[in-house]
Amino acid sequence: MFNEREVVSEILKGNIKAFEQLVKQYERLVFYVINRMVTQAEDMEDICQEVFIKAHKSLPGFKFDSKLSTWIARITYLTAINHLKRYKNDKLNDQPDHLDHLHFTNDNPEQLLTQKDTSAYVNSLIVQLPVQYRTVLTLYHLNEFTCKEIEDITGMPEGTIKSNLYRARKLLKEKIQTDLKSESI
Amino acid sequence: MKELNDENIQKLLEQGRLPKVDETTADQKEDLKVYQFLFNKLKQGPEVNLPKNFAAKVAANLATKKQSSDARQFYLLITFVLISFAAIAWYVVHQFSHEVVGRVNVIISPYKWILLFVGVILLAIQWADQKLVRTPRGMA
Repeated sequence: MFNEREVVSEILKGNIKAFEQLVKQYERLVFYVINRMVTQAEDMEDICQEVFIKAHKSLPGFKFDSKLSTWIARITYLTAINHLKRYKNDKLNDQPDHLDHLHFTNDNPEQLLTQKDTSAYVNSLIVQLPVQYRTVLTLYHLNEFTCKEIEDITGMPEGTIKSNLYRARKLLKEKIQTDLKSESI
Repeated sequence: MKELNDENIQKLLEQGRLPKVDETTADQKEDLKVYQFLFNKLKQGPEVNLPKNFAAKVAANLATKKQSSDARQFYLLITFVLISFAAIAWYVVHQFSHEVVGRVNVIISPYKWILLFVGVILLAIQWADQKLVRTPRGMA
């Protein structure tokens, strides 16, 4: 059983094994967020590593005001945003208000359907969404954070988070509906 | 019954509730089906993942960084002690033997700028080593 207070206290005493335990506990959380926000596969492991090194450095300042997972998710989010800003190669500045008619560029959805790889198909649609949408979808559905926690992580107001979640899911639903007959799903 | 628009369907699925299918129109049924499919897929993580030894790699990387930081601190301390010792020795010699001071001055004087330059270069290399050299990809 992972006891975050005990593990943090051990890490602060310099116990590297305890830090390894923390990494094991949260590596999936960090990877899911990085994987969805940063699209270059070759950078992902390095960025995940950077997140944990930053977390280790900042751990003395963590006062358990929030859950450790929320705190690590915030470090992850800020690290991913910094990475996107540094390389300016993503839809970081897309305004969600102008995205109701987002054009997806999936050339051959039937091929994906015949491969029965529907998860890959949905993922290929998600990566085309603006980063704000991808972030809230990931934090809410994959990492199972509440909207309040997502507000603490991203700094976006709760209303914006709910609106982004709704719009992202609606866009995906419409795209799936267009691509695939519901009987085939 | 509430109208089953996108917003309501999403809310119901978030709460894990399903509307009665016989009370819905064909379009609503189709929306509901696609949304259910989507909500299921959104819960699934990516197929790729971090390597199994990722935690061990990060911990080893951190240990290496800590070791080099400790070593750097140790060498800085040694440098400080040596410089302090040299300064104190120089002060003592200066107080008691003007002849020795004069001789040392004669020896060092032509090279003082070279010595200063070497000192600055060493400090610059140390600074660049800390600030500019990036950790190689996938180290440790």
